Amino acid sequence: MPETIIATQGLGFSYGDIVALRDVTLEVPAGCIGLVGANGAGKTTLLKLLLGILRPAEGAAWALGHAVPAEALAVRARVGYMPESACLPPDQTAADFVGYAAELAGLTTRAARQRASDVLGLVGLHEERFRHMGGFSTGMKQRAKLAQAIVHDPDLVLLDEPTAGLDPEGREEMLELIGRLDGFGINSVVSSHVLTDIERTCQWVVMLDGGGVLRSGPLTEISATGEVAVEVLDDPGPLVAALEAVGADVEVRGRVVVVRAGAGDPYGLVRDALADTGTAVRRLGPRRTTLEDVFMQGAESV
Amino acid sequence: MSEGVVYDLGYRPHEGERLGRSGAVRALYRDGLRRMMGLRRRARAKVGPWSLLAIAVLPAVAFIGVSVFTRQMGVEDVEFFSHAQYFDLTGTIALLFIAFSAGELLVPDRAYGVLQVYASRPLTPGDYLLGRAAALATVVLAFMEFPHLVLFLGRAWVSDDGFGSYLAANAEVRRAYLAA
Repeated sequence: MPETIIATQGLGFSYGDIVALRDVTLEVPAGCIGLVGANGAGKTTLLKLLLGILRPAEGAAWALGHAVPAEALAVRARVGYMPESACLPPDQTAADFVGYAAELAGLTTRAARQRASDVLGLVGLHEERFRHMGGFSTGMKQRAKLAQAIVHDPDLVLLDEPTAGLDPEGREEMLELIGRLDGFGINSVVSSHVLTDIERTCQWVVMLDGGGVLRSGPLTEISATGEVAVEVLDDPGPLVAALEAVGADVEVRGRVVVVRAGAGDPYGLVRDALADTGTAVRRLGPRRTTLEDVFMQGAESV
Repeated sequence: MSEGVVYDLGYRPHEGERLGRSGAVRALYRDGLRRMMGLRRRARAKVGPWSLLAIAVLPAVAFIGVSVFTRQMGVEDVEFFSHAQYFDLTGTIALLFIAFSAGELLVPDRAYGVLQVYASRPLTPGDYLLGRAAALATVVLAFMEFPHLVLFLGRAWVSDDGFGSYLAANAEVRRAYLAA
């Protein structure tokens, strides 16, 4: 397992009487980390604790090998943060502000200017970099926010709901950018309440629910099932009957038939059964447990 | 056959130096100066500070103009007002400037959420205030000092004794003023 970038031990925090996090114990490897949970599950609180903005009421946390909040300055020197809410002054140009963000991280003025230009090109704001950010669309603002988070070449970026407010196309592009961060040598923590976003980009998933950890593990382990899903056009009855006749374990969910082979290749069984019954197929493929499934299972068992 | 090659420079890691807290404070200071004077901002942001500065310098410029004129007509050296009197005006304008612009240093950071960016940078709340206070002090000092410098150099220019000797003779006035 690669090195641990984030660890927490019995971490707890509350806003007055409202408990935001309780007994969070995590050990998270390098790479792209997904942080999933409903609104109010404690995602932002966890990120703020890692930055040392909030002080834990109990427990301890480490980021990049430094204890927070005791060594928060050492952590912040190598961390970028993309907040969920707005953080862009409308009266500055993107190039000015991103350059300023780099200087704040200790880069020299010359290096800051160069990197601001490079990074704005990378996030697709090359043409707009000398425009005042007050006139930016939501998509452009999200890109500028990402740019200020990575402009100083951090070892870790904390992205709080990076796809919030984006249209499907903007969401695709943002996820594609985030997926590339790993190749740049930047570890990332991506918080989202949209599970499919996390599935697409991350290798490790931390699920939060009601301030506690539902599960923390590699994504492949969660999603691989070895099952086949067949979506049919009309009544799945004959297909199910044919499959059960050859000893397959079948589960029907509306028009989707999930097949677990008792023995042998499930695709072979499905093919034969489809041919025998003449059923029209809409879709056929391996069934992956979506995070949604895991989340629902976890939520039920809690 | 050689084929066209696309060089994707992509992302380059930063291998240069990182100045840490001192760099962050300097960045806050420089940004504070720019923001107070409306530099690298829209024209609207420049109107306030620069017109106040113009008002502060105007008497000195007017005095020099009149002096040049009267000297050509052979009139004795006139002194409309002393540095001390002039200080009343520049001091008031500096106060006005503080009232109008000092908020610019802190309020937008809060209103536009920029504090969240500072929170992910190697600086403490104390560093933040230090950088901003230094910017305020610099601009206010400049507001009080610059008009006097214009007046002083202008007097030296129109002086009968010549530029250099006026500077030498009145150097202690400058020193006394600077010490005050």
